[in-house]
Amino acid sequence: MTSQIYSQKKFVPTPPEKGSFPLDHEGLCKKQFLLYASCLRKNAQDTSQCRQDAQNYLACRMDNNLMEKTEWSKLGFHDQSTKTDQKEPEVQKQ
Amino acid sequence: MMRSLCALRGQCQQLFRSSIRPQNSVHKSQQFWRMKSTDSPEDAARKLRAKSTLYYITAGGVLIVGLSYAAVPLYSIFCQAYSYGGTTTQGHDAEKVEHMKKIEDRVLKIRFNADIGSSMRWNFKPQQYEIKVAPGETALAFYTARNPTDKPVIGISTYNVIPFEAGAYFNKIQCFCFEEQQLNPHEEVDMPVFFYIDPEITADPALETCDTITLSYTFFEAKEGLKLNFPSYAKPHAASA
Repeated sequence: MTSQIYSQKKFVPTPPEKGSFPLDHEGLCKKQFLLYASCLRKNAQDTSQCRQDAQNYLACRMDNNLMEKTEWSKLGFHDQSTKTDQKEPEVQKQ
Repeated sequence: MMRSLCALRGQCQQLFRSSIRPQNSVHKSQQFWRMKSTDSPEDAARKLRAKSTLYYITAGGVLIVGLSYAAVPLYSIFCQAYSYGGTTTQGHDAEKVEHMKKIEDRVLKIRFNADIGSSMRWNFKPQQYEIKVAPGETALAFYTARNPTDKPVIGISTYNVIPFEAGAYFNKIQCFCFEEQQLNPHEEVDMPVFFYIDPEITADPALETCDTITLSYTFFEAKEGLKLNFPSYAKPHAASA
């Protein structure tokens, strides 16, 4: 009892940095979610292998106003930003 | 004649002795007076020194006790300012995420758990039961909630992180917790959790052998005027008279 009393730590929950995700009621990003889920299943749940699909899902949310637009580097996608830049000229060409 | 001379000598000796004794007593009294006069300043000096020593010792003790109490917050402030001993600064920092380095030689297994409150009627489950995450790298995970009832239900969730010490290094960038989420009748929604594990978790000796972190979400129904039903075995205290 004494050790429990003295070693009891107070857990102070910190809110998430960017708040709460808006709900995707209409399933706008369902496709990207399924792609990400299948990628995890293929790579034995290793998230490092599926960062591109995660970025695609977040990009879909940003495009559909389900997430605040932020720089990719501030979300931890450093190496992916060049790929995104590479994709842009293709879009422009189309 | 000899006897008379001897008697005379005896008397002379007695006179001599009697004359010597009062002088001795006078000397003793004088010495005693001198000792008294010399003792006063010495005693005062000794008492002053004793008092000073007592005051110094007391002040030292109080100072030590005070510094002992102040050491805990001062050390905490120092550690937070200079990241000493793996103490992280308070609050979230987007720049921190921007300059975070992935730790390659350690992979943590994140398990996901989903629960609902007793009066909640959603179907709530994680989309993946565990993923592998490297500290210092952001990761995305999904929960799915479905409302099988015929009316909209508002839910609000809390979360727990096990082990307890790992909660300090589990940082969520965006999730669905602590806010009310409304699901319309027969609606199913994917709920993402975007998080990262602080790379300083590798510097924590308490978590040296920790390779699995469990994230548990619990959804409760958020409605006004909730009345809890009394269980059947709980009887009120009624007066028999």
